[in-house]
Amino acid sequence: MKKIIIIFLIFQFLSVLGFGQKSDSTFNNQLSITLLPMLRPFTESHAKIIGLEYERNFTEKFSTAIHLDFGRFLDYKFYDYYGFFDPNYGPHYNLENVLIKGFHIKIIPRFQLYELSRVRFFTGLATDYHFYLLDVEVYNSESQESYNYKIYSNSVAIGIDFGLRVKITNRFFVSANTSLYYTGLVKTQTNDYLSSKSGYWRSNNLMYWGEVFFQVGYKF
Amino acid sequence: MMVLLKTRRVVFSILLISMFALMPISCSKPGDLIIENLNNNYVMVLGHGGMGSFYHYPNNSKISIETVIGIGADGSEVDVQMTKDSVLILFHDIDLSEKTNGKGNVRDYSWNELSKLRYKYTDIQIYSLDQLFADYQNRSDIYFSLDIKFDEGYNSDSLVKILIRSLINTIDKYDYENRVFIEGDVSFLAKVRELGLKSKLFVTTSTFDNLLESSNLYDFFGIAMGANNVTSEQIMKSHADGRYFMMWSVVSNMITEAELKKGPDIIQADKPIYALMLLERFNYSYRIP
Repeated sequence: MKKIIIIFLIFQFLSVLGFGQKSDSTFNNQLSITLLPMLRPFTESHAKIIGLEYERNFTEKFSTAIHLDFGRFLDYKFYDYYGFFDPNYGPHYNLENVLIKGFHIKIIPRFQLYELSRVRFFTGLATDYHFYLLDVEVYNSESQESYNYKIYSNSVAIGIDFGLRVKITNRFFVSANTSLYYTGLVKTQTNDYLSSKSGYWRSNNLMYWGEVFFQVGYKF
Repeated sequence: MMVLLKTRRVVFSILLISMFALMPISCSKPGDLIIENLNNNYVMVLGHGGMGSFYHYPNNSKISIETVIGIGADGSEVDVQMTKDSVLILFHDIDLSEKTNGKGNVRDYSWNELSKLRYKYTDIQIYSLDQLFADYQNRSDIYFSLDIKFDEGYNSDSLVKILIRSLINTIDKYDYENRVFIEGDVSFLAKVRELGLKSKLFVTTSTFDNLLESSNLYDFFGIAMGANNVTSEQIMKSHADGRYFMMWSVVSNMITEAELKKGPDIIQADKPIYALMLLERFNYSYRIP
C-alpha cells in the first residue's frame, strides 16, 4: 500500500508542476469557498472549518485543484455525571473539554467527463494529507482537580473524487463533489489514530471515509 | 435584459454565501439551558430501549444499549418480560412475530428457545436481564429503568409474584438494587414493595393527580409520564411533595428544550443524541455503530 501511495504522490506532484502551463480558455483560474463545513456547527460537535480551493485549468479537459480545510474539526464539552440520588452532595461530574484542530490539504487532478451547456461533470484522483492536534482537558467536580493531555496525528489518504460544476454567470459557478478516501499512512504520537474528522461517512475500521463538498467559486 | 439577469445571479450568489457564513453565528449555545429539579438541577438521561425507536438496530438489544451508554447516557429504559421458565428477557412486544424470526408469545418459550431466535434481518439475539446486569456489573454510574410487560395470561396473582421474585433474584445477584427503577401501575408496584424489593419505584399509567396521590400514599420514589401530558407546574408540585419525575416523550419522540425546562429529574429519550447534545453530554468521540 505504501508503494501505491508513493506512486500517487509522484503523480500528484507532476500534476502540480503543470501549474505553469496555460490553456486557451479565457479564465484558467478558479477560487472556491466550501459551504458545507459551515453547516457542521448544527450537525456535529461545533466544528468551525473554513474550506478554500484553488483550481487551474491546463487544457480544456484537465485541471488540478489544491484544496485546504482548516480550523476546529471537533470542539465540544462532555459532562459525564455520577453519584445521582446522593442527598448530601448531589451528582458529581467529569467534564472533558475536547478540541481537535488541524488542517486537510488535498491535491486533486481532475478530468472532465462530460459537458452540457452550463454543467460540467468531472472526476479526479485525490491525495489528502491531514494533521490533527487533539487537546483534552479533564476536570473532576468532586476533587476539583484537572489535567490535560495532547495527541497529534499525521495521515495521508488517497481517493477518488467526482462531481459537477454549474455555471451561474461567466465568472461565478457552484460545484458539488464527493470523494472517497482510504487512509494509508498514519503517524501519531501514541497509538491513538485520530480518524478523519472531515468525512461525513466513515467505515467501521475508520480507514475509509467519504466527503461531500458544496462550493461557490469565481473564475479569473 | 442580459445585464439585469447577470446582476441578479451575482446578487443571488452573494446572498447564498452570506447566508451560510452567518448561520453559525445565529446558533444558540446548548450550555444556556437551566433546569430546576431534585437532582441538584442535573438531568439523568436514559435511552428509550437503548438508542430509541429511530435507531437502525432493534430496541432492547445489546448493541442499542451499549451505544446509548457509549454516547453519554446514564443508562437506559428497557422492556422486561418473563419466559415460561421464569427468565427475564428484554423485549417490547408480547408477540415475537413482528420483530423476530419467531412466532407466538414470549411467555410460551423457554429462554433456551428464545436465545436461538434472531431479530428480523439481523444476526442479533434477544438480550436477557441477567446478561444486561452482568455486562454493567462494574459500572456503578449506569442505571436501568425496567418497564415490566404483561399480557392477558398474567391474570393470576401467583404468576405476577413469580415474575417479581425472578426480578428480585436477578437484581440481588448483581447487587443492582440501587441502580434500577421499576415502572408500573399502583397494584404492581405495591406487590413489588410487598415482596421486599427496595429499588426506586415509579408509578405510571394514570393521570398526574392520581399518580401523585398514589405516590404519596405508598411512598413511591416518583412518577413517570409522557412529556406532552404534564406541565411544568405539575412537575414542581411533584417535587414539592418530594417525588422524582421521570419523563418520556409521546408525540414528537424528541425531548426538546421546552420539555427539559419543565424540570424532569430523569428523561427517557427516543432521540438520545439530540437530548445529550442539548445538555452538553454527548460524547462526540464515540463511534456509533
